[in-house]
Amino acid sequence: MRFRPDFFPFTDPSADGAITCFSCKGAGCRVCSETGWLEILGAGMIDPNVFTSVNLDPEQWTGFAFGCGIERIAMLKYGIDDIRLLYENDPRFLERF
Amino acid sequence: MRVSYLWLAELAGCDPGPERAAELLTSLGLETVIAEDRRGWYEGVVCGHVTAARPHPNADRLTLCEVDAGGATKKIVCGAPNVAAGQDVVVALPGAQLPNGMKIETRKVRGEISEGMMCAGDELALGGDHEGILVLDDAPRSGEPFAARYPARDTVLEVDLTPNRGDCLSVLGVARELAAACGTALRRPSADMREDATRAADHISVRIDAPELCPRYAGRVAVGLAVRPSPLWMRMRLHYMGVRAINNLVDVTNYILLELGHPLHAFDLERLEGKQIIVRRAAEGERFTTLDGKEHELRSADLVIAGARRPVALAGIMGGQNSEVGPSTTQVMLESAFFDPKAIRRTSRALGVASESSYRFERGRDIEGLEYALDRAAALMAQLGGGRVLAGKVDAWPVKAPRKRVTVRYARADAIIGVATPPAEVRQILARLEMNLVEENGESVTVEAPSFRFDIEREIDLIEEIARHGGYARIQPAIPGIAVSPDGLERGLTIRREARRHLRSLGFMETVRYSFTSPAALERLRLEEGHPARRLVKIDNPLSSEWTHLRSSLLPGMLASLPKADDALFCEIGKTFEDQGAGEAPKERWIAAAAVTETVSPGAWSGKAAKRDVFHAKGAVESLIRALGYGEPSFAPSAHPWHYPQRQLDVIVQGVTAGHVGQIHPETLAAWELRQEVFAFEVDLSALALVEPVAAAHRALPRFPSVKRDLALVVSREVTAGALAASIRRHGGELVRHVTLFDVYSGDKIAAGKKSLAYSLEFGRDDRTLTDDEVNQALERILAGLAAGHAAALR
Repeated sequence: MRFRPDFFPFTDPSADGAITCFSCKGAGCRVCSETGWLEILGAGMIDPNVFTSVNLDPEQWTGFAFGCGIERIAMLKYGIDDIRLLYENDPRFLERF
Repeated sequence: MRVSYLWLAELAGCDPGPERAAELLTSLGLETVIAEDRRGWYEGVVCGHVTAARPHPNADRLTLCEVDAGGATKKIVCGAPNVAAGQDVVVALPGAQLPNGMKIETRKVRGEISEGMMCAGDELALGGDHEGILVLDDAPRSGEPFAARYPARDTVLEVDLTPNRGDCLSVLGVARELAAACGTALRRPSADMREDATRAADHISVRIDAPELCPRYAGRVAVGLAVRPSPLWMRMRLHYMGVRAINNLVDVTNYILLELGHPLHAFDLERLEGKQIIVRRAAEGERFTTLDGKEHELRSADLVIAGARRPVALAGIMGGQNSEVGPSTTQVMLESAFFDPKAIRRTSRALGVASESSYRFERGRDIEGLEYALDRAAALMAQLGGGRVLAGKVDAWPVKAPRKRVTVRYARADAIIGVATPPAEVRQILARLEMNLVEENGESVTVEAPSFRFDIEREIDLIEEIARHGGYARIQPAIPGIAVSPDGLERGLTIRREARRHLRSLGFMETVRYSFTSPAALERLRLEEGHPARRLVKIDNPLSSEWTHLRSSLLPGMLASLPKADDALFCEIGKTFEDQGAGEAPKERWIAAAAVTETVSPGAWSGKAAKRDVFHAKGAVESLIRALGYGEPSFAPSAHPWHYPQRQLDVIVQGVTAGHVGQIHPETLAAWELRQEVFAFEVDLSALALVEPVAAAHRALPRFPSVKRDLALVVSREVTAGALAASIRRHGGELVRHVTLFDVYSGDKIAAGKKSLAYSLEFGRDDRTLTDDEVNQALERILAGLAAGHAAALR
């Protein structure tokens, strides 16, 4: 697991959570765009502007936000090597789950 | 963005190695990988001097050369047309292996011995065509290893920049981050030069007519230049960074763009009308041909750089053919300016012209630093072109905006990051990022954001810098406290789970579709004007032209993914969206949808498989509603345009219309090219979640026998079986235990427009056995009620 700074519009500071690519074990392959890492999670401290926009005082409120890409985790769990299969709804794919 | 590691290390003043540099940059939020590793290349490749060249006796196109490769003269047969005695060249000696895998050996070529090979640029993986061998112009020592003299054993990094860090779109920008991580001082390349006595201002003048689009425009003049190829080290660096070398003058502007991130433009001064630069808006309909040969019609929103009359460049995007630097250019006016990012983006999109320059201007450039880029480029151009830089510069900068001042409280930074950063470290981090300290009072520090940082405006932006450079690794994992309600999960969530599980257990496959749709889908569903499902939510920046809106129904997606002619039972639990007008949030609903095909896979051992009909879908709905705890649903006639008339019903749960079920209309089937009947339903789980489930309760089992009677009723065809059954229950009162429809008939034995429905009725009481009279009285009440309510007659 890797936790590093990233940029998202609604959090500041932001972080990216990545796991070692399950397909190549970090060597770099098609699944991870040759980086060895799969980014599965974006996170960060909620940007003060977000609080202001809903009439909360950012001096009083802080928050942690995160979101996971469930596709990547499903790929990891079931050994799926092409993310598009998840949305094609081919009965031959669906019947395995 | 590709970045040469050696170049980066030179500017950052540290040499952690490419792997460690990639790690450090990634840990700062600039995700970096090694894209190309040239270390270890060029073993046995040396500089050499051609001492003699004569034609090959047995081949027209070959030359026999004698090459001084340091210590020994080698005989080399060369096929390149440009080889000549006196040249300095790159020689691959026997035993060497070239980047493309080619092994060099001593061999005979058409009967003549050849002890090595003279290399062309592409054979050394340095780009260029295969027109001839590489000729070195900087008098290398013979025998000097090629990789020792030139930056050949480089590593190219690929840096993936986040959109907020336009300041890192250069080697210097990335080096600033790396230097801060290594604790070294950034080494800015020299911009020193000896200026000529003549003043630039005597040769050129600058006027800004549109300061709102161009706050600053500066220029320098270089004269006495000769256009020739750039030196090899520069061509190599350009190649590593993915830029094709052209000639020394053009290459310098590209080199500075890559090095410092500031786009420059070189005009041929002698081709500049009136020796003046006017930065102005284009006239409406003004025509201009860019360097790439395309003619554009401009509007007044577009900013141009013009000579006395005509434009010579689309500001910040691309120069024009009319002032382009060419082989005969000797005088150059170098432009270094700041253009409004939005204006550049607008013109670039409108005209469909983009460049490395416009890409950078769109992200904001360094209004103060453009001067340094200009000086360095002018100095380099004079050096490489053998010319002189005229004294001074023209620099129009009407309104200087002050730098932004931002304050960060130490305690606030610690609270947000969750780890304490000592104040001294905070100040050090900010200083390394070139944020000048303005004020410090023990609790907070105020700094000036450098002119190249557009992302530093608020306290939180400084906290981000402290977090990044303090290191995310310091943040300790901790599980936050979570309040758990004893009420369990909310109904909206559990009802979706239960619906999913139940439909799966009925044999449905669960599909997942994107939440996007297009208005075309509404036509396929045959929706009339004003139908609520027509209120689509439009997406501001759609990913594709097919997916421009959020879906208002799950049916289009389901019908699109259904097999055209094969067996399938599909279900989906997903959200729909309905626009509620400006200023209102869209109405979102969770829907359980399902589709059932007419076709059933053959192969049942007991014989030929039957076809499914609408009752399969209706049965699934009933089963679903029961499984969700609402008891038996009722049904009412409906008129949804996507269903076949008369073969559809609304699903009603405790008085709430919660969905529909029916046979898909032939036109809708045809629109999705379905070649079989399809039966479908949608159930609104959001509406159901608000309905109280029926509490199960025990009731004493009947101790007294039931009395059964059958009724065959003739009614008009429009009357539904459900309505008759409800009427029977209502008029029969509490004596009626069960009502079951067991036969439906219409045909020549009864009147046209009529049908016969046969019901089995079961009567009973819990306290005693019913008498015949009581049952007969109940039947009479029922028949009277049916006659009055539905014009039903006994058959």
